[in-house]
Order: sequence, then C-alpha cells, then structure tokens
Amino acid sequence: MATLAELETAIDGLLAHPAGPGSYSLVRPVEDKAYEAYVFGLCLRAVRELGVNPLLRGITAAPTPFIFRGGPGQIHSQYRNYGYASFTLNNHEFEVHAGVEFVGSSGMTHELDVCVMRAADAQRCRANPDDPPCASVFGAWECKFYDQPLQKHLARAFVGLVDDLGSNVRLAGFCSNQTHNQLRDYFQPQRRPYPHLLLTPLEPASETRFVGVLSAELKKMTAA
Amino acid sequence: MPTHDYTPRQALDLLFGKMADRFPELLRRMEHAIDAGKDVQEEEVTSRRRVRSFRKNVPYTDEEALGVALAVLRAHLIETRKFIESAATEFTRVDVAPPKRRESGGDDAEDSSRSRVYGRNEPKKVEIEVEPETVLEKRDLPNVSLMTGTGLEMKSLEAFFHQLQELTDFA
Repeated sequence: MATLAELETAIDGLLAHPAGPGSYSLVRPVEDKAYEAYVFGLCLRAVRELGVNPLLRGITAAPTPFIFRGGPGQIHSQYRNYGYASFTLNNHEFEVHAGVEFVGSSGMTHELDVCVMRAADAQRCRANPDDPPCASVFGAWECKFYDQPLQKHLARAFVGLVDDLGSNVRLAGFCSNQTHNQLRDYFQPQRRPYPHLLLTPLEPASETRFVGVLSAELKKMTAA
Repeated sequence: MPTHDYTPRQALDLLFGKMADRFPELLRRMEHAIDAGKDVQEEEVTSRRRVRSFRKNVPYTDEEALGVALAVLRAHLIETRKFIESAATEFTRVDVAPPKRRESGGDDAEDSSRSRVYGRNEPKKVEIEVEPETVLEKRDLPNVSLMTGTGLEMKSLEAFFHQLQELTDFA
C-alpha cells in the first residue's frame, strides 16, 4: 500500500531534482516560442522527407545563432539577424518563416506563428520593404503551447484569420500540445484549419500526421 | 481494498503545500488549470420515454484535479524540454547558408553550387528574442538560448515524474 510518506518523498525528489522546477525559469513567452520552434522543425522534417535539403538562413548574415522573433515582426526587419529556411522543390522556391506579418485580403495585417510561403514574394518584400500579401502564403500554422485544456476563443480567432488569408492558402493548421473536447467538431467543416491537437513529441503519431499532411500538400502543389 | 493510505484530497494538499513555499508561480498555474473545470454531458429524463442530453461545466473531482496538477508540471518540466530537443534535432539535420545574394543585387549562385553551405549534422545555436523591436524602453535583455538538458538528467526527471504519477493513480 502506498503511504503518504512515500508520496512526500516522491514530491520532494521531483521538486529538488537538478532539472526540476528550481532550474527552470518559467517565462511564458519563451515557452510559446519554443513550441513555434518545434513546429518550425517539423516543417523542416516534412521538407527533408521529400528528399530536399532545406537551408537555414538569416536576413543579414548566416544564422549563427538562428534567432526566432519574440513578437510579430516584418519579414524585411533587420533589427536582428532573424532566421528563416529556404528550399526548392520541383523548381518551386519556398521559405519557412516564424512570427512574420502578412497583409490579409481585407488589408488588415496578421502574424502567422509558422508559415511556408512562396520565396519570390519574400525576396521582393525584403528587397523593397513591405509586408507580403496573403496570396504568397502556402501554409499557415497557429501554435499554442498550453499547460491546461485549450480555450475555445483561440480556435475562433484563427478561423477568422485563415478566412482573411484568402483562397490561395493550401494548408492551414491549428497546432497545440493540448486539446479541447469541442474543438475537433469545430474544425470539422471543410474550409476550417486542420486540427493538429496533441501535437507534441509525447505523441509521435501526431507528429507523423503533421509531417505527412505538409509533405503531401507540397508534393501535390509542385507536381509537374 | 484501498491501495493508498491517503485520499486524493490529501495528496493534492500535500503537493500544493510543497509548491506554495518554493514555486508559487507554478502553483498559481496549477490552480488556474484546475479552476477552469471540465465539460460533461448530463442527461435529464423529461418524460417517460424521452431523455434530454445537455452540456454542463462542472468542477474536477479531487482525483481529476490531482491529474490536472501533474499535467501542468509535466507541460512545463518535461514537454517544453522535448520541444527544444526535437527542434534541436531537426536543426542539426539541415545546412546553413548565407543570406540570399539576389537581395543585394547579386546572383544566387551559392544555392546551385552549394559551395557556401555548411553545418549539416552539426548542432545549431537557436535563440528566442526576449526584447522585440517594438519595445519602447529597451533594457538590452539578451536572447534566450534554447538549450537541451543532458539525456541522463532528463531520464532521471522523467523517472521521478513517473513515480509520482503511479503514487497518485487511484484507479
């Protein structure tokens, strides 16, 4: 029979562990961005699975270090050497970005947590500073790290954003390490984003699904 | 026959008591997650043949609340490290290239020749910006490096966590 003393020892052991909460500073914005970095990494994996090697780049120099934006920003910003990735598939050039703002079909700007976009538009907007148009977006993902069940308003907001991105977007997905029992139903209608719920390294099947969906769509779009 | 000499409530109180002294911010997150409650489907018999079903927000039971508290701990201590580990692995597998030359008016020759591409199978340094461009009063806060923990340390932490989960499993 488990005793209260055993439980106390286990709790003390966890809390005093060298990698436990004492060694971990809980900075919420950084945790959110770490989740975006994870989803960005899954995009790289999807590209590699198509037999293509993506390249890591920085806006002003080689990305050493590779810097993720701490807040929404412009694709042409040289405030820091922000990182992005580029790849060419069947003669189509793409770039992968995080935290970049786009102009929606309404004229309103939207930040996309992680996106794959057409490289020509990205290059044009860096050469002649401007926000890229929503028509340049191939895939857009909202990334939400949560330590509790998701809140429904997050999904509603992303559905509105995707609607304003127009019809050129091939893929849109709502990614979170958590879930909510009503959200899968909410995302069911055809034009709603794909629900990548429970997308976490603790659920490898979800990762495989994310990577599969992206690589299949890239392949389909770039097929001769 | 009971498998524990304590109740879920006692276990929750013990965990909260320990957290309150040392990690109040984490405790606040646990309480917030627990107080959000859960959705359930309730049924109501409206006549002899009809049963009406409706959704209702209800508080967690003590046992469920204990599970929610541990899930919060897991998200911050284990899951975030797994994100960083996964990103680091994916970044290691790809090359680094200079900025695209065509943006400064040149050609894009380095792409086709790959002569200036390097770093595959080498770990990359990845940072998160803490002070974005739009911050008015800059404090020159350094970026945060996404560092992966040592494998042994993480395995040991996961083992402690697993033990705690077993001790709080009343099913």
